[in-house]
Amino acid sequence: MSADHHDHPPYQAHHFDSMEQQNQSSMMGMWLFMAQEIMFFGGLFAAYMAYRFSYPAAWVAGASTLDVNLGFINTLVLICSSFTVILMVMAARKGSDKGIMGWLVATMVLGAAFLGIKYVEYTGKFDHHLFPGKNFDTHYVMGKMAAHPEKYAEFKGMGIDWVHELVGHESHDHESGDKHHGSEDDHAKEGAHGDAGDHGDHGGHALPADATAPLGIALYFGLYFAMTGTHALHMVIGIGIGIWLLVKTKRGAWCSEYHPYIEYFGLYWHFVDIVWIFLFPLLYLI
Amino acid sequence: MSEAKKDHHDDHHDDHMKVYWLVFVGLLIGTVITVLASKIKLGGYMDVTLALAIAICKASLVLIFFMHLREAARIVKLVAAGTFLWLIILLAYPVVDIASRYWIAVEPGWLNPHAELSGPADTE
Repeated sequence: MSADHHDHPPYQAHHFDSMEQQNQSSMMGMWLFMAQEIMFFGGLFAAYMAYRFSYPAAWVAGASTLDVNLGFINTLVLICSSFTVILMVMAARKGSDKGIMGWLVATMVLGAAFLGIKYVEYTGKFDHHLFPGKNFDTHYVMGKMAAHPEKYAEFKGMGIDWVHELVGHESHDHESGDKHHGSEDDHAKEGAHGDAGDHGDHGGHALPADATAPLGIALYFGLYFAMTGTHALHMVIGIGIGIWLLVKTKRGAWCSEYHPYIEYFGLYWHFVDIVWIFLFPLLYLI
Repeated sequence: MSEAKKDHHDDHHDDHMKVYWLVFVGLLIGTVITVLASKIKLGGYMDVTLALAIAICKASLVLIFFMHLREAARIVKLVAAGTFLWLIILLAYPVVDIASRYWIAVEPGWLNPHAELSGPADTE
């Protein structure tokens, strides 16, 4: 680094006394941004807390429509991506551009895998009419409730008294019951749509005429889509920033002493992982 | 860079890698524990409290080790700590509020074990 009248590295801005001060300042700025993000998500989590304790039956019913296995896999995917991010930052600190790009690509691939699984989950929700709005329909939810009515035994006065009468007559899982094969074929012949959403999920038992979904079920799904949708949007933005960083790295923007955006991208990605660490138990494991 | 400095640098990185591997495995185990803990039904508010406690542990691992809070400047630690204090207040106070409300639509036994069905209007 040639130094005519400058005795500091070229990437040190003039209003800083030292690189240490510059690094601390910009790191603090990044953390202030993340504080804002925590406020952003915190509002959604606060709404979740308020409504979960106001409508507990709806929360149990809503969570029963989610696939815990997919959520579990997604959690593992994100934890692995956090690990690849750390390896990327280590490569940057060693000054290895190849290492940065390799681990950055690995991180983005894992992020894309997460979004792919989210896509599968979302299309399932749309097919079952669980997106709040014009086509919102609670048949699927009620079917899930009828399959495990004992989970709702403690909830009274939430508009689901019909479920309490099903306790003791509950159907077996349709994978294990052999007497349900007949109804499975019937449903298959009816086709995937427009058959009022029974789909044999409760083993072919018809829902009673007075069956209603619990109070607040649309709130659960509204929050589900708001929270996971905002999270997924952050993943998409993260992957976009990652592509930009790939280009910058290829052009040789970093050295082992100075690679701020790699570090901040790492922090951003870890933050998105932390949000999911909270989303998974709160939405899926009720 | 001299040979000696290079070795010290690599040792430094190896130490860090060990910690990162440990945290990574810890997070994976924590996820399994989260799922297993959800099968235990403690009733009332304890289920979500347990789930949140495990999640907070996992998040702390990510924050302190993966996000380098351990070696950050004090001002950065202050920002992080202040933000989480803010978040805890935002989440805890409404829960306390809602948990202590009177529920007219709900029969006694859930959320309000000492309630009468008739509601507060009777006391006027």
